[in-house]
Amino acid sequence: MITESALLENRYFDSVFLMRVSKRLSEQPGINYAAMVMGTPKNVQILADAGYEGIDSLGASSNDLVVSLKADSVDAAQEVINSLEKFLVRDTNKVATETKVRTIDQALTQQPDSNLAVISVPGEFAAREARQALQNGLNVFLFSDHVSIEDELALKQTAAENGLLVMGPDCGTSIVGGVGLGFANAVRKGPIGVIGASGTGTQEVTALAHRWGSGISHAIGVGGRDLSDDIGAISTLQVMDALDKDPNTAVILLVSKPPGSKTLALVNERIAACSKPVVTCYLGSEKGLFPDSNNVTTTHNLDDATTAAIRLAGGMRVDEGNDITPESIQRERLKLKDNQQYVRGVFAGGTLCYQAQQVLRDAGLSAHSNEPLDKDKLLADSLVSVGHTLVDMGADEFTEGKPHPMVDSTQRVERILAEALDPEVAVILLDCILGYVASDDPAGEIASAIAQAKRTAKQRADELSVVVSVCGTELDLQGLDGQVALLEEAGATVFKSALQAAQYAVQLVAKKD
Amino acid sequence: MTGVEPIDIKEKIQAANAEAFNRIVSADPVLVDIRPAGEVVPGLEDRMVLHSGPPVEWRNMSGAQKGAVIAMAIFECWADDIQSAEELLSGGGIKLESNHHHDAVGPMAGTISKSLPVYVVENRAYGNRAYCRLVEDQQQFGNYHTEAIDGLRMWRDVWAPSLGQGIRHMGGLSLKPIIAKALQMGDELHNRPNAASAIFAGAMGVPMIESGVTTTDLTSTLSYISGHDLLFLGLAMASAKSAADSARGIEYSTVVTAMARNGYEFGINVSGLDGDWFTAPAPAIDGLYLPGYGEGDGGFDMGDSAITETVGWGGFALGGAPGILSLVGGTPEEALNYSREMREITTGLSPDYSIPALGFEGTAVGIDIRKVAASGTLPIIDTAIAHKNPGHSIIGAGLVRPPMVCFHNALRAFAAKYGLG
Amino acid sequence: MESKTAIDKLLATPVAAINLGVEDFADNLESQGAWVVHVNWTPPAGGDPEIIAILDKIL
Repeated sequence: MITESALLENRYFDSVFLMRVSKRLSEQPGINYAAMVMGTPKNVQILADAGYEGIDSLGASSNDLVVSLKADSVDAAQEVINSLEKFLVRDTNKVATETKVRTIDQALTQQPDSNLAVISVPGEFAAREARQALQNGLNVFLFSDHVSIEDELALKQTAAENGLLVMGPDCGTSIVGGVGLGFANAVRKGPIGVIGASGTGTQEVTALAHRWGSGISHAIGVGGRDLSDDIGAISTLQVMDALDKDPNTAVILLVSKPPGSKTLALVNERIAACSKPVVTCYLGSEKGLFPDSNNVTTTHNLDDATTAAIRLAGGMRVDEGNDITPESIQRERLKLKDNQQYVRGVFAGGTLCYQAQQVLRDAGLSAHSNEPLDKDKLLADSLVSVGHTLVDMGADEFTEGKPHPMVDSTQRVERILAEALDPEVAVILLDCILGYVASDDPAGEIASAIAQAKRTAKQRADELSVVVSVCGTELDLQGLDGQVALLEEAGATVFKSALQAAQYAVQLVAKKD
Repeated sequence: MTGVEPIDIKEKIQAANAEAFNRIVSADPVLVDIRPAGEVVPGLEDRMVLHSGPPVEWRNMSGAQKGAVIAMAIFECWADDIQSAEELLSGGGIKLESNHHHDAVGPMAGTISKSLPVYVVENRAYGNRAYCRLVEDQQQFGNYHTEAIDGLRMWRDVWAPSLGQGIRHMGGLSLKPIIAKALQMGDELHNRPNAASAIFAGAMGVPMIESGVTTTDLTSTLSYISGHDLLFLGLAMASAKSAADSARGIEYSTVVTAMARNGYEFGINVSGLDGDWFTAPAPAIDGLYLPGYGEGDGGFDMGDSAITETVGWGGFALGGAPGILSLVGGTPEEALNYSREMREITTGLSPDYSIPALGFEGTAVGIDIRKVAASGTLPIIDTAIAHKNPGHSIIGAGLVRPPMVCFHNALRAFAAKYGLG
Repeated sequence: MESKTAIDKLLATPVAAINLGVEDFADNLESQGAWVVHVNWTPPAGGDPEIIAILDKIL
């Protein structure tokens, strides 16, 4: 190790700054120790004591800057000494950073008119944060899942006592006055007020309403368990009250899994008293189980629900149409071999998966799922399809520590490719969900997998049908037409309705008469 | 969700903390004397050395603190040299107690023994007194060599008596105005008390002359105080101690009344849990080193000077002290952020001590253990670095935060004491 | 007329949100022109359940 020193005459810097520069010098390649001090007799002595040789001979005065380096080589030391000036420039252009807000209290100080807390913290902390938000007079959009039913009930009771609303937990989607919270599609404002106990169900009906010429006043998520008897529709009833009063809402559309029996009575009672017509869509129920009653138009799927709401709001459904004809279906059926019998659904949207199961069931086909309509259809292993299988890739077992398929399609791509290896598969049924917070290019992420799946089948001389429903509007940032085109180029048959896509898939595999 | 909300205890805590906050911010520290510790510090016995931080046994003491205690043994003539002092100490021949148990504080190793003169600061708002020793850059860092001890001798024989004479002559010196001014002159009163030191030095000349201090002593004392940038730190610490002590023992209060370190452990006291230390191993300091020293040389965090942060100065006032900004490794904006960040863990803002750079808003006062634990934000302390081994002077300076364990342990004790099972 | 609840007000006034958790949600709201303050959230008490339980009683 060598010592190399230098003197910069009449350059004054404060000692603290020089300590900082010294530290940076010592981090340069080939430098072991660095000292940078003003050349006072005391400092010169300190350096000499610390084993920096040859300082005396520099003849430093108190106004001179002394730099001394212990380095591996003279070259390494000289290189640093030659570029000293750059180390002596003070950082003046560092970007000023705002203090980060760390608590709800601080956020309220910054924005006293806040009316909503959007909470997506890990589930074990979610109830606590939601409670604090409520205590601060905020409505809550609770995206977090893994919130216990006890916590949900307590939160909703507290909220209701204070005239506040809890949307969720596990609430994926809301649209409040045109602003999308969480996963939501960009839709025009209009007369339909949606109460959604499911995320993608809400997305689908709001997107359909938009594309079919109507619009949305508000779409309020209430969480998938709100209509269970455990919760008793606390949020649903609150939103019903609010939408009933809301001047921009003409008709109320309620999308949910079937309510508990006690809760159904409560909900029907409230609907009967509602000044506005109400459409219900209880997905997964047997057809005809919930008859129309006082002021209720009962529907069985998201498309019928949206159509009914548009009609009750005084509008007309503007049909988009598609190229599907009985002949085109027949042509597609003829391509399938006899052993190609099954539909394999790989869904990002849980409700869309659920609705598709219902379509299969209504057609007399038995579909397995990790989130089944009927308990006896539960997949033994979510990773392994049997017969007709419709998988919800957004379920816990796929999202634990991994991104949701609406944000990242990696796991869906793997599953699509896996399904294509099974020669008994006739149709792969997919969804593609656009909107805020979703992937920038959801179609692009699955398009190459679709093309490859079809190639895989072709290699064994099979034709594999791929059917995709796109949930979105032309206002969505991803671009509806471009996304559809990408999927069609990959060889998929594309629908802009999840119901139609599922129905088409069923027609492809239906037994010949 | 918890079933029953014990609103009652929250209100009690709120009220207790408001009381603690009010006592701290309304403190009125006045320097009334400078006296040998043995004459004024309660409970200070012969053959006893007080030290910084929570109580610690000789065998666990950090190197620097051992060095400083050895220096005191030599200073008091209980031992002739380093080796005999060490033998005396390891044989238990000298009692070691925490400054904080004697209404006292000391910088770095913080050692106080009977002959060492201490500042006597009276909090006229509450009536209590607090004591602090001189601040220097050698012995308090563990240097036990003759030149270091000579500094203490000069303080004992010339500077402290001369200053004390002047103080008594003027009937005490009110420190609150000096502190308030200094905070607006770029001081944070811990690592940078330069403005306060200058104001104090300026205030002492005339009274010393008027009280008849001899020319020789006067010259020596004036040149000492006018050339000592860190002079006022001892007074800032005594003032802070007098303020923080007034907030001790308020039932239900979760406000911190002391943060202190001895190079072995970091400890805090909490008003509603008075008498208990909540300790954890002392952390390392993120800092910069003087030439000839590096990270491997530094001892762990040490000193009672975090009493300044306890009352809202030091790291809490960094935003107003641009002179030491490069020490915190960053920009003025980052320093301001430290000061702003401290608001989230404190009870209120000082009505008297304000920072121009923060729009003349008050410094954050009254560290609340609940808020520290809930936010995960720890108090920020700026501090000096001592060597890990005995025998050295100051080797660097930097920033440090207490271990969270101290606050968690305090909360557990609070829950136990106030029946929150 | 019935009095307006906080829910009624939420539906009648522009969204002014406080976002805790995923920062994308705040960005999303901002891109739609809604008011939003993002909270740089970390688990309370470092996630220690015993301390959280105590804090819930006294804070």
